[in-house]
Amino acid sequence: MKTQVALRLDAQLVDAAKTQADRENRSLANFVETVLAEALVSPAGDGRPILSVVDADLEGVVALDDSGNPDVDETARLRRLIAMADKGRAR
Amino acid sequence: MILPCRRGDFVDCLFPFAERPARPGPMRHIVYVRAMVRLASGALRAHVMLTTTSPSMVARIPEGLAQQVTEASSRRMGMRNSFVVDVHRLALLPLIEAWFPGIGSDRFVIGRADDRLQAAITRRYDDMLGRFPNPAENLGPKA
Repeated sequence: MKTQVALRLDAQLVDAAKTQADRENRSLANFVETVLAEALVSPAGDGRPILSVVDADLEGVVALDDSGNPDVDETARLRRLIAMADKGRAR
Repeated sequence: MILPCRRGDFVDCLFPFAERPARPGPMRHIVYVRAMVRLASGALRAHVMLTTTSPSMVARIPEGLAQQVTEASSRRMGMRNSFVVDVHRLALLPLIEAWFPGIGSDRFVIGRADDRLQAAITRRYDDMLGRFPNPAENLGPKA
């Protein structure tokens, strides 16, 4: 869902943003939205993976191969990832 | 079992902010499908890695965990621009339209990584997993 927002910004800043948006072949609104979204992405931490999950319970999770059968090596990787990652979980 | 995508595919995804993992993110990103995953309940999830074309996003990727894809490689794999696979930003997401806007259409899969790129991503993934102690191993009996 999109929301309209009225902002009072420095004219030179808006001109510069328009120029950059043109260079990237996109609208000013899309450029501002992209820059804002990127600014809200968490900074790099200590190199630990950042894993977003929506499920509270990942016990027994299994990675599948292209045929839909369990993939032992990939499952081991996935379980290790889940154990070590900084997890964003559904609240 | 028919899967909507498979390892190596690139698909459109509303990748979430880490702080709000239960909500689809505001903008479409192309993600790399690392694996299809089944939960104990039987539900399917896609295990995906974020990709980006933004230099400021690339700057936030820890050293050694950014897999560059050149424009030429990108074109060979069905896409247009050079980009980077961020091996350290991942998600396990339900395979529904709320997360994957193109799912169900014949254009859901945008491109597919060749074997070389898949192998390169796996090397970086394994490198990342090897950087930190495995909590499960720490709990085991000492040798």
